[in-house]
Amino acid sequence: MKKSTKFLAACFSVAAIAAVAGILYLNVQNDGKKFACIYEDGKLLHKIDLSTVSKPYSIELAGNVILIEKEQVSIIEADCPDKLCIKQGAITNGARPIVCLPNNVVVKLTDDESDIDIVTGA
Amino acid sequence: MNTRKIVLTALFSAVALGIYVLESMIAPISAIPGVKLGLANVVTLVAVYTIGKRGAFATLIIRIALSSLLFGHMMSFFFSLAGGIACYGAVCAFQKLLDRSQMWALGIISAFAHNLGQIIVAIAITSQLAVAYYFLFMILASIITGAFTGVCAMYCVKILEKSKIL
Repeated sequence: MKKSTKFLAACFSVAAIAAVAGILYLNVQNDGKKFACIYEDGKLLHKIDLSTVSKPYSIELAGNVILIEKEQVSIIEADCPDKLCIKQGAITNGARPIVCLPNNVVVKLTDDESDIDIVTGA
Repeated sequence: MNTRKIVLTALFSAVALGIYVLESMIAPISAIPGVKLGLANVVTLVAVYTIGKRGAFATLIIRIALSSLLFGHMMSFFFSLAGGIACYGAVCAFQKLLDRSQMWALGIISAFAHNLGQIIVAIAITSQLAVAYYFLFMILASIITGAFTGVCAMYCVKILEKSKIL
């Protein structure tokens, strides 16, 4: 094997290991992020404290329906053809956001308490 | 550009478009958004080696413009363009450093660049840095799909060079 081939293989291995480590690190359950933020076109539309949700309910946006449940949130309807946001499933921590690119909708969890929707307490 | 090159560029563009459409018709290989084989990239790699960088660039732009016009929307055009240009840039930068037997590595590097370009556009559109999380999956996917497309391209180049059409 050529020296440069070995070097390349080493680089790609390191990249792969770093990626796996990153995914594992970010997916540590229960990172304390329990406030679901729903963004459309970069603007914050809703912020919901997921720990206070007793009965699941949904929020309808222009092109998506978002299901709010206790400790988790997911997109359940989308008007685009590929439905990637639905396939991304429910999120329970701040590791990854749910993204719907065609409608520019992002759902993510944070630990920042400011600007929480008032209605959700009811 | 001579006539032969123009014809080859047109041919490669047609092949790339065909492969792109075929790939979008088969089911995605994983549920993670953005992860796919990227078979159209084989054509870009082959074009760089056979008709040169300028021809390869023309092939790329023609394929992206046509595929977006025919099947996509504005959003997919910008995504394809960002990914495609990043990928092309990486191929041009690394082509000289790697020899023919290392095209699998070039495939991986170009897949990295393609995903990086698309992630940057995704961050810009959504203004959410958290989208970068998906790049971790892209790195893993790039290594597999990139090596595959790279090996495909290597054999294509070998066959094309043996034939007398170049």
